[in-house]
Amino acid sequence: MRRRALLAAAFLLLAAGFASATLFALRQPLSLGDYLAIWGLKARALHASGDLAALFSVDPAGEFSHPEYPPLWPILLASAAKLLGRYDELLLALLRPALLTLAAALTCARTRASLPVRLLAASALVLLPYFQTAAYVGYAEALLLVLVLAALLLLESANPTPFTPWAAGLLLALAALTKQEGAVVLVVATALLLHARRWRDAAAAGGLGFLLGVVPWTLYRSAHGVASLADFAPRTFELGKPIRAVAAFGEVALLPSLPWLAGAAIVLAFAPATRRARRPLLAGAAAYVALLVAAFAFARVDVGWLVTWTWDRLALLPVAALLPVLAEAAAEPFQEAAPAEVSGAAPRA
Amino acid sequence: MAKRFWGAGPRGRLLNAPGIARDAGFSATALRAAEAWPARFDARLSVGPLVPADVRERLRRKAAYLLAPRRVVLVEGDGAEVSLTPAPAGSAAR
Repeated sequence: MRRRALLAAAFLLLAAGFASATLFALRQPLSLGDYLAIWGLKARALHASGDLAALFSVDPAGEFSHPEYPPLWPILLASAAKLLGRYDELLLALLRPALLTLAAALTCARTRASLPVRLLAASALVLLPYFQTAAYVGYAEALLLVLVLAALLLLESANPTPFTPWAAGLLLALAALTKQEGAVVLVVATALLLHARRWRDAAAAGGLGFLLGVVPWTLYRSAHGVASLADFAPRTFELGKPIRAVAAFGEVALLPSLPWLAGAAIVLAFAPATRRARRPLLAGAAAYVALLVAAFAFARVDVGWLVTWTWDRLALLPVAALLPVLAEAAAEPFQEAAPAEVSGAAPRA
Repeated sequence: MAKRFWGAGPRGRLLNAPGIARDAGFSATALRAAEAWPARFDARLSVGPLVPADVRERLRRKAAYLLAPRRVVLVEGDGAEVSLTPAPAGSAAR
């Protein structure tokens, strides 16, 4: 009876979150913020010209469109528009609920718990503030999230096949071709595989991800004289900038995040088995965040400004990746212990 | 309202989208130019010194979006002028 009630509540929560996110996405055509200045601009240029080099020429001085950003999301938008027969900003907004459905399904699949708990993890994903606003519809993070969650599902698999690391590598390559953060995920995932002595998996996933996701775009970009990162440069390195970035994060986000962070810490504190089982993922999320914070040392623009305008988008990936862990941890104290654990008897062969 | 929204077609909906509607007159002009000018032409956006810097930047981004794949180049206009003119590719000076 309790399980049914929990299942119904989880399903209702998921449906409400998905309906609300879809309404936010579809109540107006794509037209806001970075969609207009970056992703949509490039997609329209690509759709109209059919030439990948249009990604660079459309903003001649490279002042607002970030020509260095990887091209997969504009390519996907332009391809969808080609399939539709016209560049229609409202129809293209349908990509958001489609990607959200995939992300929710992947979260459900990654959660190692009963169905209600898995549905609750998926509900938590669709209810994330990133999806409950019209501001970020048309941005690239939703695609990045789906690719990274799919790669994580494969890398976490208890029954991998010989093709699993290759498929994960391909997904990580696509993630690196979507946003630079995808390349950071590639580095972290490869390092964790190496640490776990999964040499072949690390070589397959890391090698394929690097060769397909990083090399081609770097070469193509360089051939067109476009620098790697407009907002970051080695010569602007300063040790104090990451500290300023953390301080800026504290100023803009700590107060609203505090209850959630405290809740997550409490839930994890009472779930030793989940912490043990999910140590690689927890370590990976921590390493990913540490690398992003460290990257602020090379910021060319004001760090406070950069953090203020990007922190919620940068936080999406680690938070979404950790939702299954939090769901599992929340469920752990309520799980019935296995008979062997209760009696202390040796498990049967 | 829903009927009007769906009946507006892609062009009407775009002109009423939040990121575009704020400068609807300028956006309509840019969309007409996008349909009329050959794709090989760049666009010259003349903005006068009396137009605030943030508005100038907003108009530049909108023009770039609506006229893509053409390059939109900002040039100094007169007074409060805001105008779009076609220019052969590569000839529009900054």
